[in-house]
Amino acid sequence: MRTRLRSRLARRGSALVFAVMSVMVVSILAAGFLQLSMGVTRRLNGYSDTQQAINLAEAGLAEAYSGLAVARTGNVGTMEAPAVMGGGLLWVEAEHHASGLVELECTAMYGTGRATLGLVCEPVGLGVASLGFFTEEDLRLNPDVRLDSYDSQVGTYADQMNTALNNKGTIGSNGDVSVASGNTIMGDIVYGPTGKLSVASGSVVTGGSSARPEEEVLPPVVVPDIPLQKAVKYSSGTPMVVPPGQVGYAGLDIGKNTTLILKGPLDLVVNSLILRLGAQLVFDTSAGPVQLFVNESLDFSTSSVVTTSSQVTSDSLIFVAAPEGKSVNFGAKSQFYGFIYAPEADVHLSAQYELYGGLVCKELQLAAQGKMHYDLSLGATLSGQLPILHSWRVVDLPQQVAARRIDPFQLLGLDPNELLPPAQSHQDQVLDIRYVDTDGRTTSYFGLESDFDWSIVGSLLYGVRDGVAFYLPEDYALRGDLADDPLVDLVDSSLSSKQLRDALLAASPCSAESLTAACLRDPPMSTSDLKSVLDANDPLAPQTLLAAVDSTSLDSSALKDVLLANSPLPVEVLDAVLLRDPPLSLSDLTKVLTSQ
Amino acid sequence: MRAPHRTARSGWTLIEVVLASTFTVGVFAKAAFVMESALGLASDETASMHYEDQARRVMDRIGLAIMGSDRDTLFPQIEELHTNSIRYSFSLGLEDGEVVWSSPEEIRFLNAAGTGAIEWRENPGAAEERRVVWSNLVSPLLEGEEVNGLDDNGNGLIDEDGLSFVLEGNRIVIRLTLRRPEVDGRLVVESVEHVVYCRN
Repeated sequence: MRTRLRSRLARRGSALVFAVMSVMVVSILAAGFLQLSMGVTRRLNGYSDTQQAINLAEAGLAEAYSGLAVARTGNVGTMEAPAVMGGGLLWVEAEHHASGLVELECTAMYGTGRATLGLVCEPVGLGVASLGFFTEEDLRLNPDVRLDSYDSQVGTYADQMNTALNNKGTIGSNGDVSVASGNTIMGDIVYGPTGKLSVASGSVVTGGSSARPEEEVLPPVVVPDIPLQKAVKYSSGTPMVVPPGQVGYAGLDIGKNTTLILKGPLDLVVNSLILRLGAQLVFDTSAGPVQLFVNESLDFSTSSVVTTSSQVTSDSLIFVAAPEGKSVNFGAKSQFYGFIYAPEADVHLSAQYELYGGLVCKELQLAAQGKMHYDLSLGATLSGQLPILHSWRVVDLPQQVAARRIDPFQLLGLDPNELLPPAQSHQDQVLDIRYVDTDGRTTSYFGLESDFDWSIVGSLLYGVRDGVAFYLPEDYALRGDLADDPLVDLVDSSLSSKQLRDALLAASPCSAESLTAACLRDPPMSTSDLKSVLDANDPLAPQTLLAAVDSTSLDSSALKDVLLANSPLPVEVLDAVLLRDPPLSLSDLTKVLTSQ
Repeated sequence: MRAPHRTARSGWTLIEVVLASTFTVGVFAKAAFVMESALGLASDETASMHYEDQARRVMDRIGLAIMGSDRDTLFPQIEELHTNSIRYSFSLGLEDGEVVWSSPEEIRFLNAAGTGAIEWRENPGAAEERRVVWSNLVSPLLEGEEVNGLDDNGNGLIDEDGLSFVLEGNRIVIRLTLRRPEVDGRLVVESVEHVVYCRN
């Protein structure tokens, strides 16, 4: 009992109380400081996240803005698949307005920071003319039509026949495109997003073909507000001259063998314009451009004549604001250098109305044997020019973005490793380029940009996105190394052996370069297809014969026939025949040698 | 032999009690002093942080408003000299294919009875004028400045107000000082400076 009491007394004291109190005081202080420190950190992080989000939004805008300079759409990523950058994410939405202005809005998210910035800019040189020959509805070409291109700033069409610039036409539609037999399409075909392309045998399409990523929206014609004088029915022997300025008529009916001269600079608005038999319409653009606006109907009769005083296609413009369902008739005999825009009208173009420039309309009836030559200078050659900046602003955050301030990847359920950087997040487009690859070979690509590997490009020779040239050197047509034979492009295209045979037969006589390329094609043409093409092009040049000897397409018998048809053979060809691997059969070789 | 009765000798001597009491009082006094210092520091930090936050928030609002403005619409247009108000219009984006600009807005410094405020006004002076006070803690003068015709704080400006704008080409330098006396008489002062470019 005493021992227990002694033990209890020995443990009496107050040190533990003091120790506990000290620990509590220190703990309270530490907790307070921790709380304070966390508050400071949170506030600083929130501030820096917002700043970072603003910087990201600026970067996104810059990417889209500079993208417009190289014919991009301005759309970079989407909210569902944004671009990742610097630990945050962003997307840019571009809205193209009929006025030509583009509104860009970039939303960026970083940590808890959110920002949306916007700008309005005007891409240089973009316009509907860059669509080439385009119809909003299905485009069905009648037989024996020729559609090609040239650049009026480089020279005349005649000077550019069979050069690289002759091979850059663009045929497009928001629907289907049908190419009839005998058609020669020197360039690319871009059909609607859900459309299809049909190419009849015996036609030539030298470029590629692809679906456009989205439908083109044709802005309405904006007719100047010019008072209309009463309708005029003119049939005097003296030409009727419409002076420069702004003039309007309720109607112009130009009688038989009568001349109407439109003197630029002129904006002429008419409800209806009729050229009767033998009537002549002259676009006199020597002092300035002429813009003809037609509100209701236009009818150039078959034996009327339309001429332009110059070959500057941008100086003679015809805008047809006819309501939907109306048809306009270009039946005149003409070599019209200009641009026709009729977004709501059904345009009838006769074979004798040869158009140099461009045509964009709702529907096109192009007569058989019609000819249209797209002027590349009408289209946009951006050459990397930055758009003109009109305004910049801070935009209110979208509701769904502003709502929850948590990590954006968590919020949107995205894995940053699966997202692309902004430069690779541009909206997909149809890309048409010619380039020298990293192995030094000159080659072309036409198709969706997402399917193209830019890392194989050593240097770019020209580049077009959705019909808008973003890189086209001024001396392109004059550089021998670049001025490719369109038929060589055709051989290098993805046409089947039979399609290529039909195209080359339709284009015969073919150049030695294209026949040489056909002999050495990879994948090779079939024996019968290649032989048909070579037979149609006798006599063959020595370089083509050498290529034929080396061709894997031709067997011993077919090669013998080709060689016999071109005998006597040059010495270098005979040498190649003797050294061929695999060799000709003994009987074929004997026949070739005895025919020399 | 019987063991001595320890209970009778237990307890502290007077000296022990005096020493223990002295130590206890000392420890408690020290703890109280530390607590008070810590709380004072925390209070200072909190107040400073609060005003810094407010200064930054106000500065961001001013900065973003001016960044989006058209340089040519700024008023006054006086370069290099400081003003305590600025009038501007900013882009609202596109409408019907045209860039639309806002009605004029103004950010100005108000000084009444020694209390400064920043006031934002839409359509200033018009019948449909709207006004919002963004802060009423603005110092009458920028930190370090006194009304003596001299540049006391070495920023190149003389007798500038608690909110000042200086136009330098497309650059606008904005300076702001918030000031508030605390309940214990201390004066919390926070200054921020921001340079923005007119983007339009």
